[in-house]
Amino acid sequence: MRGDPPPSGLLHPIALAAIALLIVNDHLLKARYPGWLTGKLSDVAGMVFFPLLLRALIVPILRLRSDLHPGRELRERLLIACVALTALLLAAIKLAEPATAACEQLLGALLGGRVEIVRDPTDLLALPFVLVAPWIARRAERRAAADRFVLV
Amino acid sequence: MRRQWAERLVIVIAALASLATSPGWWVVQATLPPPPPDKAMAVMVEASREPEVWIEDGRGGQKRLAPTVAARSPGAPAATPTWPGEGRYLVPAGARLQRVEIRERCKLKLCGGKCKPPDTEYVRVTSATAVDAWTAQARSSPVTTVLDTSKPLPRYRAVIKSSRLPVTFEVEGAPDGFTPSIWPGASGHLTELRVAWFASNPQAPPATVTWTARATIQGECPGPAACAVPEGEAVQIMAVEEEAPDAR
Repeated sequence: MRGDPPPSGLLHPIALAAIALLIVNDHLLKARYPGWLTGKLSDVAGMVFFPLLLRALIVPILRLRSDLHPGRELRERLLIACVALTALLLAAIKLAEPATAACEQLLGALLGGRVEIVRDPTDLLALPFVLVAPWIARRAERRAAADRFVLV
Repeated sequence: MRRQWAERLVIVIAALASLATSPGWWVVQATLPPPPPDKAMAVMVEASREPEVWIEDGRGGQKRLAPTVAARSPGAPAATPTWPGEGRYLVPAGARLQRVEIRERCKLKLCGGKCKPPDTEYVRVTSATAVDAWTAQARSSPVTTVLDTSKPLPRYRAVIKSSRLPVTFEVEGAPDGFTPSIWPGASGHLTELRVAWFASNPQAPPATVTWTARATIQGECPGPAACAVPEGEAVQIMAVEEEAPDAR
């Protein structure tokens, strides 16, 4: 019995708002109001929730291995790695043509058809928002720990 | 328990939202003709909707061409109200035709259904002929800029008036360690561009550089021989002005 998995932080209102913003912006706002702002909103939204999503997808894989039960320290390291990886991915996709092309091909293969990603270095303005993710994750873990303490 | 299920649901939604950031496109591409040696090329394109004709300008840049003439070809089906069915494009000397294509955004289908073009859509290059072309050029007054990596690097707005598109825009006089990045803006009778300086070497010492902007347009000569710039065809650099840092 391994108990409940730790919260990912994806249920935090800011993370939920970021996911909703990404969906609305990509499928509604970008088409209706193409421009500088809508070009940045999705990047900002992605920076906020993508590290949390990445960690939430990796933690169950780690839990499958009995010798790698992710404790608090490992989850924290994983969080930092996911934040760094998210920031690096955005920077690579927005700056390096091969990274953009690889991402376009991957998404195109998954979705069927051609996907285009605009390579715009000014999208890197979204990078600082990646720091919101660890703040959300730590807050969610503190909150879960406090709830457990109250229950005990 | 409820939290776990809610979290799983959000993970699935977030993963799908991250993948399906934008619906895919279907694309039909025309087979490209071989480039003529050192000459401009007039290309006729037939398509079921307005095609995108892209060139590589010979300096690593990409440009989309506008048709010099667009006309309905006899018996051409399915032309749209804004596209008569056939267009003529001039690929300037030194440039290379990169792609000729039509495209349309697909409706997002996450659970099946490939994004494929309808059978009625087509695009083809019907002829490609080497032609003589005239060239009109304009240069700006020299601009003196202090480039210092310890401070925000300057950005300029250039306004070009031209009788036709595309306008090729270049910066002459970039020093070692600094690169001008040219961003296209509004395009039409007046073309607006932004020139931002970047340090390709962050350790580059401060430099005072005097640079010049050059704008070029090209057009097809009416006959088989070389020709002068026709009356009414001109390009002019109206302004190259530094933008205030708070305008960025």
